[in-house]
Amino acid sequence: MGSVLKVEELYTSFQVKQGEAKVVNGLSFEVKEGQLLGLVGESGSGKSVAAASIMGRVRKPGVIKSGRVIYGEEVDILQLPEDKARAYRGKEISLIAANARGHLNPLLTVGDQIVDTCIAHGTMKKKEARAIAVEMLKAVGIPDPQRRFYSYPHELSGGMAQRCMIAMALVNSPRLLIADDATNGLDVTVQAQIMDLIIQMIKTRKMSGVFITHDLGVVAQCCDEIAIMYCGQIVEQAAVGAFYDAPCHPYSVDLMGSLPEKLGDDSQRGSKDTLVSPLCLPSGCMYHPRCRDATKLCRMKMPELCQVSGTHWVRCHHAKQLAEKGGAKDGGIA
Amino acid sequence: MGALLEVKGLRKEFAAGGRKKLTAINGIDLQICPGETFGLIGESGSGKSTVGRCVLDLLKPTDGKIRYKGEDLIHCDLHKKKKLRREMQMVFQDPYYSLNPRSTTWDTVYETLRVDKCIGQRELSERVREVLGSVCIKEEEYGKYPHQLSAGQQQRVGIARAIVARPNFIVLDEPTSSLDVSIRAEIIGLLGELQKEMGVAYLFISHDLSTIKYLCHRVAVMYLGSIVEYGSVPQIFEGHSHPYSKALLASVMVADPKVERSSYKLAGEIPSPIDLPPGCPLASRCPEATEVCRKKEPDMIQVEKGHFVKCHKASGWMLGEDGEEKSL
Repeated sequence: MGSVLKVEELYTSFQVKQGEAKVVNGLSFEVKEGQLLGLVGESGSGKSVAAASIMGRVRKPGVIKSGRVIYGEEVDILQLPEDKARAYRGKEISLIAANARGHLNPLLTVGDQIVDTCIAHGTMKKKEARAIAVEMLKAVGIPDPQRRFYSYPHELSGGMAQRCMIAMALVNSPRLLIADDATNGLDVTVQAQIMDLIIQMIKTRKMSGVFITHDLGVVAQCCDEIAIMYCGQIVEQAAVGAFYDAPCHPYSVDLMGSLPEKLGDDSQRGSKDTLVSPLCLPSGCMYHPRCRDATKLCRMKMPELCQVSGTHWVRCHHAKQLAEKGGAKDGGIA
Repeated sequence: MGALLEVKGLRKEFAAGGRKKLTAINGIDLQICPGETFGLIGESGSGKSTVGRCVLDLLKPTDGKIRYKGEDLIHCDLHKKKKLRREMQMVFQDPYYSLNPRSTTWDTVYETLRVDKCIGQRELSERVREVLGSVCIKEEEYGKYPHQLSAGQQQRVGIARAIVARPNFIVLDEPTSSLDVSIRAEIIGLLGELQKEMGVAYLFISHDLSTIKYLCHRVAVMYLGSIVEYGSVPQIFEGHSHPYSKALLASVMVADPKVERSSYKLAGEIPSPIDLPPGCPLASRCPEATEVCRKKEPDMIQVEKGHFVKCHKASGWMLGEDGEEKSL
């Protein structure tokens, strides 16, 4: 199975008045063909900035310091000049952002925006593009697509606008779809509809996907693999089944423990403090100020991602012990 | 046990330009007992926040009765109203925008108690200190302004402000929806503890079903201004029978890959509350809707003790397994 996207040692920071805010700190992950990766983290953990870095949407004062974003086998998108990179962004990799109504151009009809996306990346005539746009609106479940083609974003409900966003993202048949909190701000019943639509689209078109979210439920139900982000780093990565059975990293354990359905069994878990500021990152392991099991080593040295089992990677000095403990606990229950 | 708060036939309409009317609440009844957590769930636009505002008399209802401890809350003189409302408080959705940006943590909580004029200066300070301690606000945060606090701390100040006057009833209008998972857990834990200590009743408004399941005793499901089903937490979460409740619960994504999601789905989105159509409010989206549903509004029917459903088909469910077919 080849990889579609490989992000290696990505560093993105923002130069602000108070200093340098290091938001993404050595982020590395890989999306394999046909795979759905869930990227999970709290607000401020750098998930959206990571997506923006991949899509080249980091604006001043933000800078991509270093790192590689490799699409397919060998193309490093970050090294390409802007016009060449554009051939990938929006065509091969596309993004669905949160708050669709905020991301659509309020002055153009949704139909025209889809047509523009189509023309920008192809040699199509306007007429053909229009037919494709209507077809696409129909495919994402918009009733009466002929008429909706001429609607402005403000005339659509949140769910409809999100469907238009999806249509726009998929019109060029990309190989990779990044959904950045695509269902945030939608109601639960609509959220389920939109999620099902995105997954159905990805499966039928044989695409890969990255779901950026803070909802562990969405990842459990939709993704194949999960990566937990903290302070712009991956702290744990595993297959969904393995992760939900036995999360290893203390942060993941705390995150899982703070779900309302888990609160009953062990209310002592759940993180104590909030996220650290990206302006002054802690030394050593980023999680040590909040971690219950932190030792001297954790304060001194940043741990590497290490493998605890087949596809399960954890960034923690005590990963081995934690994995054993988790495994033992599971054995006990079984 | 007598009800602490009793709402009967509550209606709230807003003018929506011209002769149009927006019906936010379309005649609901509910009762909240002392020390109970009553959950109100529904999509945005279903009128749940309007209910919260109406029962605190922040909005004047178009029609209906609200009784608090047996006293009419809407039609009583100002002096009495002031006294009654002292016992009722609210925690808002957005912790930052619901705090005064120009007053410190201490002032925010102190002011609430000071206008009460029921205790002396010295006790006042002691009480504020005690309350801030109980919501885990440290002393170095007393002098800080809302923008200097984290979201979790802001919401805890909001809760401190609500509980400082020792109310018997608090409306919690989505207190956790703008918070991260780990902070959410902290706030939910805090609310549970406070209820155990003070015996306060909550009206918990939320669309987060897992939080409701954890915290509440009884739940009502709202849709387009009506309560479509209500009962105890097990009755709603396991034995729900209204099509809307089914769809709402089916749409929850459980954080466990082994749990299969039910595929029960509604078509489309919540319709506009302007000029409501006749019949069942769900008729346009319901996969089980029949001719009757589009014409006649169903009545609230008790399907088992304390479990009420507003659906034409509910009477069929009571007949037994195949009663559903018979009732058609």
